Amino acid sequence: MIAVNNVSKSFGGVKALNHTNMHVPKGSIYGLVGPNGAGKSTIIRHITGVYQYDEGEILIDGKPVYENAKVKEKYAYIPDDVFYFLQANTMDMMKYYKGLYPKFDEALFDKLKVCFPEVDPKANIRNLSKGMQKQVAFWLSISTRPELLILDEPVDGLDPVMRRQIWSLIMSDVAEFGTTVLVSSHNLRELEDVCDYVGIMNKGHVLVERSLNDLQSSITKIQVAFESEMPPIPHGLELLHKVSTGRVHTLILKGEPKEAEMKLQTLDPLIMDVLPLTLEEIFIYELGGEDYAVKDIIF
Amino acid sequence: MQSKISFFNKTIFFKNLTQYWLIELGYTVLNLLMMPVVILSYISEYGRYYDVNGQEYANTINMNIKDTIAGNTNCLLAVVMGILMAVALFHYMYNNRSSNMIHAFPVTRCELYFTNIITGIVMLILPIIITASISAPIIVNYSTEGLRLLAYWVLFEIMYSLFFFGLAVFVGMFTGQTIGALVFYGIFNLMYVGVATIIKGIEAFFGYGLSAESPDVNYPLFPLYYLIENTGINSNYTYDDTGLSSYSIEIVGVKTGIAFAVVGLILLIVAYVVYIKRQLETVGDWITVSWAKPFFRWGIGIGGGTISALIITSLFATDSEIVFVIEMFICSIIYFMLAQMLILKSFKIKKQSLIEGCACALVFSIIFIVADSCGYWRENYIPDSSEIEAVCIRGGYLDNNIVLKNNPEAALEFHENCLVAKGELEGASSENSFNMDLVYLMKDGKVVRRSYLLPEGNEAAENIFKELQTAINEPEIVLESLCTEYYKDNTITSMSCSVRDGDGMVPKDVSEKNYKEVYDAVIKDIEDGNIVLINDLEDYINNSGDDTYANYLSINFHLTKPTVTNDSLYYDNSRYLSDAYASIQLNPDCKNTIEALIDVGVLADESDIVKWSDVTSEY
Repeated sequence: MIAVNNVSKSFGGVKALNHTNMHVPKGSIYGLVGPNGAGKSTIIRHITGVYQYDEGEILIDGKPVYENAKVKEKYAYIPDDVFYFLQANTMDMMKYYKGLYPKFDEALFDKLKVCFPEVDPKANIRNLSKGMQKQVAFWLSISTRPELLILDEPVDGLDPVMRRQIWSLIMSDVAEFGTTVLVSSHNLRELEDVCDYVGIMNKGHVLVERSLNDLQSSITKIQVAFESEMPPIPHGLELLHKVSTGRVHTLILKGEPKEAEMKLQTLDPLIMDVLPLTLEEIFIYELGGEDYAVKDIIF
Repeated sequence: MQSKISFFNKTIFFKNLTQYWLIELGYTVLNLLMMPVVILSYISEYGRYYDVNGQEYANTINMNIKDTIAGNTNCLLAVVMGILMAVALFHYMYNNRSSNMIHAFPVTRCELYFTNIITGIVMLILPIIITASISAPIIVNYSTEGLRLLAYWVLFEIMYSLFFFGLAVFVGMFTGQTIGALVFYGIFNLMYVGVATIIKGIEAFFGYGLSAESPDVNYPLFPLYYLIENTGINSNYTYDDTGLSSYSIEIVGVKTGIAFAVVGLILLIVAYVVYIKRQLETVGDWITVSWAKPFFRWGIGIGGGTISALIITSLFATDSEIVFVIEMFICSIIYFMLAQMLILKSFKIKKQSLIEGCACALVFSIIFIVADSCGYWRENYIPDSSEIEAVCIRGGYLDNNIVLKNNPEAALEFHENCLVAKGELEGASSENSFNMDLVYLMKDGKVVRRSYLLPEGNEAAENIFKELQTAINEPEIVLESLCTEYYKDNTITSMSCSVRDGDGMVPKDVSEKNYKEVYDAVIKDIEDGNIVLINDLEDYINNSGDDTYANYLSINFHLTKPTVTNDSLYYDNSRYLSDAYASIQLNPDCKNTIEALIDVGVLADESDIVKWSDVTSEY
């Protein structure tokens, strides 16, 4: 759906994006994670056609997005700080969106009203709380029937209840319409439960992007205990990390869990358990010392 | 649904209209208050004094309607509305949140820009049309010509609006801040005046004989003033003894207005190109277009540096050119750095910026030094006599400004002599010196001014003055200067002579029936060389007043037709005056005039001609 190929951008001599590559498959939920200042918002503003890149290309459904209204009709964009016109209420904004998006579904807008019972459509949006303003943004965006939802820090600054509500909205839209979602966050935990794909960004560069399945099958966490000293790791297994407490050893190994379990079985352990890995652990061990700043987004 | 026209989007258009209806309403109300409401108030007010069915009432209302329309035909409102509308419609470009959101919507910049421009033009023109539509039915009952003028008012206001809106949008594209847009709009409107004033100030400082005069601001690069002066509807009144004798309406500058409107449209096109190329991450920057940044910092550097140097030198009364250049060098660097801080939005000064700032100051300092040593300041320029329409000479304590029309050679000779004696005259203190101003009114409408100080006790100064005095006091020059070339046919409107009245001098009117007798005597005295324009230099430098004569004959003329008079030097743009004034100092040599004044009873006898010392000693 989205292809960012070798895109670079400088702001006053400072490289904000440095030969960045990123690919968001159609129908996926792609989480873009990175510390503050990593370049997440910059790449998103390029994808939404706001900024013009210095080099490279950005395609949505195979077509360049910059100054391309037809392509822009396909996505709805919700920035971190949503803008509404002065004195506008939800109904005014609905008319505006309806005029700009050919696929705007007024019936869906009316139907979704029940999902936002706290929002008064006649109230000046700028007088609403930040959470309610975000709800209005989702309400309007979903009503445009987007093929792609681009969300920049969608739940940043919201309370836990509101966060859950917003995520529930996104998930139900994906489930119902198969919408592709690109969502940025500086917190990996936030995305763990919802994303199919994750890209980690730092210093204007996407360090790694993988599907969750690939990640989960690439690293194994195994707890083993031996009668005496732990024997050497069998050939073919790459040890990424090891923590020992007495005779109990927790191993992080590169490779599929079944293969690792089979090879360790040859060492005749007293006990052996394959433990679940969190997304953050996967990234820590996957990236290892490649870039210490990655830890900033996990812890 | 989205419009199929690629440069127009009706959703954005109607959003703009509904969002800014208050501006539209305010502008409409203001126009209504200034046009139909004023006209209605005249109709109501004069109805109380005149017979509403009478001709006088109809004429008065007709004249007032035309006057109101003429008075409202100016660009002042358009100047304000242009920037107000531009900032309102493009304010989204001055805020990150709105800029990112608006440009992420499925519209191209082309569509967005032209929709905003169309909205702006509609919102600027609509109040004018509404006002004209409401005014027309009121006007038609009283003034058919008023309707024609109303149509011209609409035309002019539309042209003004297009120009100032175009300028405001153009300027607004170069900045990423609302305040920046307002400031740059002001700068663009006043830039010519500022630059011209700086140049005049520098010329006056460096150039010998060049005076610190106000620049000629009636120039297209100062559109506000130029449009007010050269376009619109002028009402001309002529009065005689019975009151208003004639009233006429003149429509001026339609082509100029059209030219400015076209320039406005061109600016809108150029602004579009800038918008298309504008990098949206520059929101919040003072300058958003990279190639404009050097112009900004160099312009601020040299402009600020020069103005500061001029102010400092005038405050400390320094006339050293080296001191000026040093001051300018230092101030230019400071202003350059301030401009750079604004551009970068940081108080940190990089070494590279400092070097560039020094280079900027150095380049202009060298230019000043080289220009001064090459005599660039036009101090040696003397106009060609064939290009001169008239020369006015003004000097401290001269009773009248002297005007030379047919014989400018005396002034040219004086001018040349001052330049030749530059080494001896330059640097003279204004104390104990006589200041002589030359104002050349050129045939092409331009004005050339020079000012020279003739110090007391300076041989060269005395010789130069003596030569001028001899040439100027020739009877034909005195006659032309005091009474103009139409001296035979002038109508005298008033005449008085100051006479001693115990403790001072008081004017005593000459009765109208005696004007001719006294005037003829004055002309006779001028022809006999008894009345002069310039006395001896020491009379002016040591002007205690005691030894000079205290009786003055004052004559006001209405001229046969407008011409250059001794007051024309004050009117650069309307040098042809219909009235003139002469103040003649009477001395015992003015026998014919004194005799005539005795004859008509203004003076008792010759002993009434007194010196100030006689008057003040008695006082």
